[in-house]
Amino acid sequence: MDMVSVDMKKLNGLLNRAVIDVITTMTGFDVEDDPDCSQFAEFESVETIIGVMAVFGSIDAVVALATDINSSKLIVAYMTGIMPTDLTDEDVHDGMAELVNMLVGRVKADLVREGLDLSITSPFSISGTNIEMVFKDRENRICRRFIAGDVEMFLSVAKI
Amino acid sequence: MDSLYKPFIESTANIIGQMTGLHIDLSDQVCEEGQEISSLGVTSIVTFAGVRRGRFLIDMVPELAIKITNNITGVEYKDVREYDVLTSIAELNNIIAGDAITVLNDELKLSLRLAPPIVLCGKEPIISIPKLSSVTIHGSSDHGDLKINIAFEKEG
Amino acid sequence: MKIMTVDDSAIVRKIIRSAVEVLDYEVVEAKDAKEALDILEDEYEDIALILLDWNMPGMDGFEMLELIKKDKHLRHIPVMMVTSETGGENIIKAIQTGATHYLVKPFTIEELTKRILECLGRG
Repeated sequence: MDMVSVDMKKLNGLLNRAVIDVITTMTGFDVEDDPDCSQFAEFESVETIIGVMAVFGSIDAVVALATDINSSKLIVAYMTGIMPTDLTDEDVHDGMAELVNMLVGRVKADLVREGLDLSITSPFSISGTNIEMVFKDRENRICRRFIAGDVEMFLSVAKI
Repeated sequence: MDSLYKPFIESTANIIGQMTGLHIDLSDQVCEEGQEISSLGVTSIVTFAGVRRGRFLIDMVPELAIKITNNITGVEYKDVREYDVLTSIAELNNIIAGDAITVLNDELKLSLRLAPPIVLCGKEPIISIPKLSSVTIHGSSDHGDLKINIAFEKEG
Repeated sequence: MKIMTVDDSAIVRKIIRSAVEVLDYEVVEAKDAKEALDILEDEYEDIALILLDWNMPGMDGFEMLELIKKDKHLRHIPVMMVTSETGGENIIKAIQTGATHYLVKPFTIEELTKRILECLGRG
């Protein structure tokens, strides 16, 4: 049987749709994407949180969803029904990791149905200020900006 | 010591020694870690999946990351945020994890496959890995501290 | 009466807790199948519904569903699979094994509440 393959453009397209679907469903936010943005997470001097997950098999890629800490609290508050002030740091980290888990899980299911062989790793999250995340291959990285009111999010898909 | 952790601990000291000539002292103590790990400055994370899923993380002070890169490349880097410094640490992590996983696959038949490594630096980063309990082994060198952290999902 | 959520994600358990508490049920949380089965051993008479994740480390949700449906004390408890496994095959497998409902992540709180009520015969 021929090995089914997926390219970055297709993976990115599926992930973009998944970001909108998952965040809209989980938070009720009206999420729009900004196709003109190709920069990842320009939150200079602002505490940032990034949910990260890797996909490998028919395509090897790292998927990251970043937002500033206040936006992430708002997102997780709407997901859980818990007031932002009552959320612990662990809740916010878990929430961002779970969002990435849901969107990558959805894309994986779509691709596996098409016959691809894909594994996903456990999600994790990173928080801090001026975080720089580097991948081996600088060229093969697609970034997209999403907006929902005052909430700004960045999706990065890097093929390695 | 848990047979899952030992290959990572041995590979860390051996490979850093072989590639950079630096001596790393890793503690004999294996510490249970909570969900959140505070970074020393530069962190590379590699995740893997197979019969079990898990993650290997190597974390170090910026001075040590620069010294390791300088020794590997023969170029004098000064800033930890330089692309070559960060990718050298990612590559080092990839080699250590690859070596350890080869041992685990040979001995325990875990069929593990490595995902690409990522590397990050920033001001006081915290790495949070839900769902996985992990262990940390602290280490030191003449150029500053490092630690490694290993996590495996529970067995089915 | 109590509703049990079995999920390795703490945040998903919190989301479910929010929905369930509005319905005036007490919530029992378990982070994996082993913990859930231990709780069920003592509290099975008080559990009105189990919300069960499919992908968990250790015993997965489907294996736990099979155990529940084979156990004479537990088999009457309705089980709703709450999972990101979207494959139609899995849905059929779960329903054939005795799951009452199947909810795919992501879900809205309204959708979750509606399904819980349906499982409890209050839909």
